[in-house]
Amino acid sequence: MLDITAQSLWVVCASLVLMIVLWVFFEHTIWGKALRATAVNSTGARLVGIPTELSGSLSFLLAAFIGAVSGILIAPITTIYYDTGFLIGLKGFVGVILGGMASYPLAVLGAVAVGLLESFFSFWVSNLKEAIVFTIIIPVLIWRSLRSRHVEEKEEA
Amino acid sequence: MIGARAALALFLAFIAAAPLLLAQHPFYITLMNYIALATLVSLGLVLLTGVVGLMSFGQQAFTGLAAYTTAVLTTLYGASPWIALLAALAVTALAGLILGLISLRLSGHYLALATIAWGISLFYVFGNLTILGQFTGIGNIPAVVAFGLTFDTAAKSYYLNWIFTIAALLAARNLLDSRSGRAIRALRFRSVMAESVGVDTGALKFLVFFYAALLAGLSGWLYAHYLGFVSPQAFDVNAGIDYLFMAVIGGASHVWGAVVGAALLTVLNEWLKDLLPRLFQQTGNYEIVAFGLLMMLLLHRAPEGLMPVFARLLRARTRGSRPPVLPALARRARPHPGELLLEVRSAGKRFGGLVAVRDLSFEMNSGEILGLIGPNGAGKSTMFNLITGVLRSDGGEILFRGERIDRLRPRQIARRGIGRTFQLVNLISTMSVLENVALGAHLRGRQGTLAAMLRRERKEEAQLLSEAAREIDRVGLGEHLYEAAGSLALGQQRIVEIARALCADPVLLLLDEPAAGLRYAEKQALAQLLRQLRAEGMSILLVEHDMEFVMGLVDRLVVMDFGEKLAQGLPREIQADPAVLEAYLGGIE
Repeated sequence: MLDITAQSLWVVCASLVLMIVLWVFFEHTIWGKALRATAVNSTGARLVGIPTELSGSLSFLLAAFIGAVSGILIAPITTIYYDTGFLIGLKGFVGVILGGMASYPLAVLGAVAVGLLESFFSFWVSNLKEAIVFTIIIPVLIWRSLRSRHVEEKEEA
Repeated sequence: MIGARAALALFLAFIAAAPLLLAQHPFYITLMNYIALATLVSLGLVLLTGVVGLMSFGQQAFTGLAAYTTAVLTTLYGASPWIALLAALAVTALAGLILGLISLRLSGHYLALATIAWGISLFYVFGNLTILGQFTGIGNIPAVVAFGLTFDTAAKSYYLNWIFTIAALLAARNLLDSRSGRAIRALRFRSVMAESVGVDTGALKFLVFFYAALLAGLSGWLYAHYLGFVSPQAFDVNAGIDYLFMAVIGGASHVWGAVVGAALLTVLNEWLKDLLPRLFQQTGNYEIVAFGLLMMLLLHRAPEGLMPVFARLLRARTRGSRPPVLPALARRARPHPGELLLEVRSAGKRFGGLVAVRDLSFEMNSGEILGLIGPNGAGKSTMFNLITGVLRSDGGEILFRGERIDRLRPRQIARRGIGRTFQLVNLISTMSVLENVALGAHLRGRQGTLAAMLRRERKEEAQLLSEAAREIDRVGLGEHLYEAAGSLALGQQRIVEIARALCADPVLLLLDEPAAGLRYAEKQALAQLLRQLRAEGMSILLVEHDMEFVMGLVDRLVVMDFGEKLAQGLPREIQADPAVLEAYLGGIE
């Protein structure tokens, strides 16, 4: 019997709403486009008048806001320690990496995959579930890194 | 103001005398022990992150592997700690080998993430394996015994820990100041250049990673026998972040920054732990909060870390002590003048829809200066990159002295005697002119990293530096030997690049706009130098925009436009060629 709590529905709905808002923001507002331009080429963005430092602060603000929302949403359904955010954040990162850091639905799929893996492994080998979840990210990282192959010659600071 | 040597002597004297001075305060001895152990790990990070630019949050995993290896071997199997040291280093080496092979394929933040990932994985492995005592850990690890001495107290372990630490610090310092060290310092921002002088950048990166892992392993072994107890908590992700922090705070590109960072973080941590609860009149982990704030402030004020701030207090390195003049190194056999040297047969390169070079063929004979000219965007620099192996030709063949080189790597091509300069100056701006040029002689030295750490390569090193100084004199920059390359004028930096290329004793020299940014008299001097090189049998392929400079210097010209060969011939033929005039001047009515 499936047991769905109201809180879980809140989580799912909030994620959907956030995704849509972010999509509208990045595709259809001048600020969203400016942020994307800064990500692609910050020098070029500055040349056309985008305040790139402000863009940095803005994206930081956005990420912090979303993090805070997820904290509020997760608090009622799990035990909270002072460093709960660290593991949640890291697993979120694994999810994003699995999804390819490019699209929101893929990131969600990645996060769901991480959750499923964790649940299955906690069923099979509960001791090593964390170890396995974080080991899985390494082959994915290699795959992603090989796909984005380019000569990387950073400038001296 | 004191010299660097005196500062080192003071430091060593302090370390040697500290147990006597602090005999009444055993707590400080314990603290000093922790500093030594942390220094070893962050020293590895100074090399890996600060110098090479590879971020690792996972060094504590190596520390843990070594600590657990020695713990299991000495407690369960009764092995001697010294045998266990070998085993612990072997295990760390194996892990470093595997993780290095995997991780170094990753670039940028992927690498940092991978290190976090394996760090967390191993933490949970330590915490969940029964043989490793799960989260309670392993106790009763015996102390190290050497020369009839048992290192079983903090005061005795002190010397054991610091002897290893100081040896590692000196070895790292020696390494960075050597042939391999110059190449290592080029890895972060100048790996294309490093390959062009024959450095195997992939192997060298791996070597640094491996060395950092071994240092962390050594620290783990010392830790286990010093405390007599290991548990997973000492090797969690926070430990890894702390180590990286130490390296960054200390000054991540300075060997001694490892000590500064480790000392500062260890002492500050204890001090705040003691002070803050008294200040707030209640217990709690306030130090973590205060610590975070302090570190943010510090990084804001001194983004390069603390060591550069200290280094400014020391007297600058004595200038003017030129490397002694030694007999020149053996030179490679040169082809006969007029012999066919370089043959480009229908080379091509396209980037997506843009054809940079199309079906280009030309030949070059030994002992000539060939000019490659053409309007901006004609594909000249791409052609350079095809010849030197930075880019791979889409079709056709490139032959050097009859051997196909279009499928070789840049460092293999460098080995065959092709030297180059870059259109965008490719020097390590913080390194001296002398060291930058000596990098060019990389392939003329043999001694590796181990010899460098032990200072067994001083003879060869002196010879390489002497060679570099000779080439610098030759290009007329003899007064600037010890100046940072980045402090020279742009035109002079281009000349430094020529000296670096010459230092490799090339047969063929590829110069990409060498005269750009030079004043008239300097151009004259450069032209004179190139003529002299030609007279000595050097062949030079030259890309240049300054027509006066080119026409007076070259034997023949190849003109490119839109990736194709427009014309070739003697300078005066080219000057009268209608197609060339059209390309440059937009046609004549």
